[in-house]
Amino acid sequence: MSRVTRSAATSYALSLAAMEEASRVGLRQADLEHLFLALSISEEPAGQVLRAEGVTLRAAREAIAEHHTEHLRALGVDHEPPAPGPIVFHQTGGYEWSERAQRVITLANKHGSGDAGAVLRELLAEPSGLAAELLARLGTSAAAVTERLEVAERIPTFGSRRAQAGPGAERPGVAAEREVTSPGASPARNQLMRTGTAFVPAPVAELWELLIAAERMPEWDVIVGEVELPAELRGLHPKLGDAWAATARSEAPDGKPMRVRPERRSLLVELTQLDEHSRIEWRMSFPDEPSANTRVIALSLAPAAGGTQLGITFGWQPPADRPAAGPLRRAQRVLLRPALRFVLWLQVAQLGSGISRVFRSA
Amino acid sequence: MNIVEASQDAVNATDPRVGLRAVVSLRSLADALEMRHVEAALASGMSWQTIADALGVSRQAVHKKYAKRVDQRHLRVRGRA
Repeated sequence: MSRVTRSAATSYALSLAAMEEASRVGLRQADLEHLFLALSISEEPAGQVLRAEGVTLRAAREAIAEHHTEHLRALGVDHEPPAPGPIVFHQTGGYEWSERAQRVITLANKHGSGDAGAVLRELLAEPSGLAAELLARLGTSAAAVTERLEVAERIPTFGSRRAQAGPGAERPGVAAEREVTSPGASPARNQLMRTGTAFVPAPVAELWELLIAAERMPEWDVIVGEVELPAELRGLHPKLGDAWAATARSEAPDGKPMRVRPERRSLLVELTQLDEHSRIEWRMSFPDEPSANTRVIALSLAPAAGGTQLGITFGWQPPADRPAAGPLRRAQRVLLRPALRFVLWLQVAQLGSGISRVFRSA
Repeated sequence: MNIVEASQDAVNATDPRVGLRAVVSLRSLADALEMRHVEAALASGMSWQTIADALGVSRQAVHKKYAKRVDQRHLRVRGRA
């Protein structure tokens, strides 16, 4: 992946996570502390290093709250900051970076590669010293984190994981063959597929409870609005091969109605892979539009410091009886490839942030 | 420590840097509180004009600052009402 796409992917992930954190505390401007929190859940080496040093999302949030309470007391204000609420980023708008946080990201692209490691280094070097102070509160130090980051970045597996992070990382259709830790979905003819990784700040067992509960799918999937479980599945965990109906989301999180074509309103969800606490795959088709591609989501779970490393495979699979594409359609596909690659990347990124948000918003 | 004692500490602080940095926390607390109170006012059905009068700014100013930033579901409920 090129440097530009990698830094764009990092910037997207950090901005989203930081602004979601700002939204919890009633702010619309993401500052250094929110960037710090975003780094603590990054799936890149910088995030892994922070968590290995004890900088988990929960610990970092507590350290920041303490920092503010002490500052306010120093001014004679005996007021605890208001208790944070759920993430409301998707119900609100007008978000921006603070000037100093924006400067950190700009410098990370100028001095470094723009990946999360470069952002962390610039955050530790910026003049307010906030990140170093938070690290000290958390029982570690800027020196310890920097040293560990240098070691981590020399390990080749860190590099290859990072290589999947951006929109231009892999060509659709071949990604799964190249990806060693791919969670199962086998690429079929003409399948458009993309893989990626995300960090979820919850233990494997807790994450599994979310994923295996069919009725909780609307909490993390952008398409599924309501799940209609057959009576025999209610209150039970579905088994391999089980299928259930769902309806497509008709309203965006901010209450805006979403336009969904009538034939795409009902969904059929099938559980097509199941390996408890380690792997799960669903296929979603549109019963009212049999010629539509099937949406395939495959997830793999592995324990990691401070939570779970989530492997994500997302794809669209054409129906088996669709005739082979003619020369015109094939040419169109070539032309559309960069756009498709981006859309697939976005789907993977949204799945990762949607699943982890369930645990960050609580 | 009560507020009076704390204020004394603040005034007596020897390192002005401590005070300056603390103001950053105070400003973000003020922003967060303002947001919460504007949202609560909108949720209770208060008009932009009333909110503006209470904050001591113009209706345009408060609308420009908050129309996009508040939870959009409050505005939709008002729109339907």
